[in-house]
Order: sequence, then C-alpha cells, then structure tokens
Amino acid sequence: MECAVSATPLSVTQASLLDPMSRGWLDALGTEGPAREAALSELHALLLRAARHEARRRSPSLPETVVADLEDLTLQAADDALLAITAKLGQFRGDSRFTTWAYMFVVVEVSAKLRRRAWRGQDLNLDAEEWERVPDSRAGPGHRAESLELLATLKTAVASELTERQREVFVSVALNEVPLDVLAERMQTTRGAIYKVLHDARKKLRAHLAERGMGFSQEEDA
Amino acid sequence: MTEQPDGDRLLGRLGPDAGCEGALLLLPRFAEDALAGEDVEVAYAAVANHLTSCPDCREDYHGLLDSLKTFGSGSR
Repeated sequence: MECAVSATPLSVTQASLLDPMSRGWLDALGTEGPAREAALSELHALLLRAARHEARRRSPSLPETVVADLEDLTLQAADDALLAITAKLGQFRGDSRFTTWAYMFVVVEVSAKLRRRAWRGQDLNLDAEEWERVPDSRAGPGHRAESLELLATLKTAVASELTERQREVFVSVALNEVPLDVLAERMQTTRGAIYKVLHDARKKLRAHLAERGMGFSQEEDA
Repeated sequence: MTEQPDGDRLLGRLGPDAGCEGALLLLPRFAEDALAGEDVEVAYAAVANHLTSCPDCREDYHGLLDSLKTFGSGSR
C-alpha cells in the first residue's frame, strides 16, 4: 500500500502558521501548573461532548444493551482520547485545526468501544461465508446473471487462492461485515494490520478475476 | 463515498491506498477541506480510496465530519 505520510513534529515554520486557537491549545497544554490543568479539563469537556454526540449518532444501530452503557463508554472514550492526545501532542503537525485533530481521536475511541461492545460475546464464525448477504444493486436480468457469475468465481477464488488468515479476514470483513476493530481485538492485532491482510486478499482476488476476463484489473501498487 | 457498489464492498477500490494509519493521520485535514468544498477525492486520492475500501475508517470519517458540522472549531 502507498502511504506518503509521516508523523514529523511541528517545524518552526509550521508552528508560526498555526491558527491562534490551535496555538493557544498547544501553548496551554505544553506548559506546567494551573494553566495546563485548566486546558486539560477544558479539552476533556470538549472530548466528552463530542463522544456523547458520536454515540447518539450511532445509537439507532446499536443493541439495547450497548445503548444502556453509553454514558460509561463515552466517558472512557474521552478519558482514553485525552491520554492519547497528550501522549502524541508532539506529533500534531498543524495540518488541521487542533480541535479537529482532537475530535478524530475521540471519534476513533468511541467507534472502537461501541463496535467491540456490540459484538462482545458473539461468535464471529470465521468459516461461515454469507454470500447471500451480498446485495445485488444492479438492475436487470443481464446484470444479475453477471453478478451471479462474478460471485461464483469469487467464491471459488476465496477457497483456492487465499491463505487461511486472508480467507478469515476477507470472509469476516467483506462478506460477514464484522468490523475491523472487532476482528483486530479477537486476533490480538491492530485495525491497520487487519486491513493490510484484507488489502492483500482483495489484490489476489482481483488478479484471479482479471485472468478470467471478469472485468477487474490487477492493482499496480506493491 | 457513502454508496458502495458490490465490487467496492467486496474488493475495495483500485489505486493508491493510504492504509488505516495513513488515512487517520490525514483525516483531520481531509475532513476540513471536504467541508470547505475542495475536491478531496483528487487532492487526497490515497485517503479517498481507503475510505471507500475500509468500512471502519469510513464510519469514523463520517463521525468526524458530523462532529465538525455540529461543534465547528470549538473555542477556548
């Protein structure tokens, strides 16, 4: 996969280009004493507000048992996001406003907690392939036949072309719609590592289809 | 980026892919620029491709966008 980004610290030039509000946050959080404590408290309040908002946004799709725990989950998410932000303050590059950067931490924390809580205790059933759940969004009998042929070829390729781990990840994420965060927790790894396995599996499957003139071309990236 | 054809859901989108870590690193700027009306699909193709291919990052992006729309830049 291509990834042309790096977590380089804020340069003097970048720091001078910060908007005043972001500069204010960095100055306050980078100091010691009451000013820092006040900024931490203010940032936690901002994160908790965003965490609650994000949890409410997702609540219609959550099981009732998870909705009952939202207050605890959002507080944990705000706490964890604050810890992550203070630990990574030196990595803020000033590409965005500081608060946007901070919101991202808490949204990711809330997401991961909600996903894991919603799937807690559920068997991921890594061998069960839910091909019938793949929607057929293209209208017309011609397209339907094409879709069925494509799915049949894919199904064969999943069994014959992928490693066991690639098959488990592809079936779980692409077919059974298990969140990557949930699979990462079960496999004791990270979302990024699971995505890399998925990416490699998809690449193999595309190549298999392309060899059979199924209309997908092989990716060029490494 | 919200509607996914079957092929994208199963096989992801072709092209450069920032990966989860790379996408999350650039997502704050990507979201701000998207809200400002910039063509982020072109400016950040590797991130846009990733968001199409990764359901977790895509959902997080929508959450970030919604927070920005609701709370703006915050204040202090």
